[in-house]
Amino acid sequence: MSTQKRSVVEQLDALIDAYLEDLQEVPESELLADPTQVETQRLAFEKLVEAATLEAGKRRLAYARRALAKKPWDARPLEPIDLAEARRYIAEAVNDARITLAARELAEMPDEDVTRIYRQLKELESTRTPRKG
Amino acid sequence: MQENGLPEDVIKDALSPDEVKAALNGLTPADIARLNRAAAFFCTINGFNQPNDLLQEALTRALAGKRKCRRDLAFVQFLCGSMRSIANAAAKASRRSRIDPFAEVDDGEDEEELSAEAVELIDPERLAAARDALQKVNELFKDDEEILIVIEAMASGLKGEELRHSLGLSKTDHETIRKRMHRQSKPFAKLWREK
Repeated sequence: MSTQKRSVVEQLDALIDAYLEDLQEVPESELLADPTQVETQRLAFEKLVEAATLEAGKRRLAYARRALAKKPWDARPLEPIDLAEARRYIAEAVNDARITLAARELAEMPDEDVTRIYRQLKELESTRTPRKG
Repeated sequence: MQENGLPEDVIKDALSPDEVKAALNGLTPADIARLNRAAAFFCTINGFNQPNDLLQEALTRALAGKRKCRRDLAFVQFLCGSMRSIANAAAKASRRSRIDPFAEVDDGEDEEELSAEAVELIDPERLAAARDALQKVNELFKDDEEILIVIEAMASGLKGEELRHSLGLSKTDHETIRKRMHRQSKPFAKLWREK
């Protein structure tokens, strides 16, 4: 690297690295030489932290809202299901070659299973492309 | 993968929000002075409008958890790094509208840079912003040869003891030059921000 000509970006990066390292070396006696300025800086910094804390709260709320909006469908309250319509729909699905559903005695299937399978089929249907013809 | 709905910069083993607050409360007057100097420096070279705005933005990102501080990193160093990336992004953004991606390279230096191996890492805005920044620094100290020599050495990758040894400077010489740099950059920083 040392033998290559540095690009302007590399030169700037190196300059900033060196500046920041130098900054750590600046003696406290120099940094705190003027007590009035030290007090002014302390007060100004307190105000910055106060303003930053308020703004950070707003942003956290915005991030939380965004995260909530991205949650999957099952996090939202489910619509009530008409069980008779669900059984009819599943009976049709059993005859659909695209759906692999074990032949079961639909009439004996518990309501919870009907509800679950109906929701799964509806979800599957919504993600499938329409069949041609 | 996002964590707690936060959009970026998610780092494992980072300070918690309460620890960030504690770290802020624990900053010494010297730390605050260093942060102010770093903010002024980034504004001078990178075009961010006000040092206080830059510092506040870095504080906000730390408190909001958008930018996380690794436990093995000194807190002042973390805030300086955050200001550096915010100011870089601001400098790039300010160049974006002025860049024509189809423009032909107009001098040999550009040609050489664009054919370098690192070409995929350097976008046109960053290149233009870096050139602007270095030009500003050179213009700022054009009447002080010693400062320009030190800056040239810094830009070539030298720092601290290595830099002093390379230029034959004592620690006192270096501190004197550094003080002049700090003093001379103050009035110009304001002037550039108003341009």
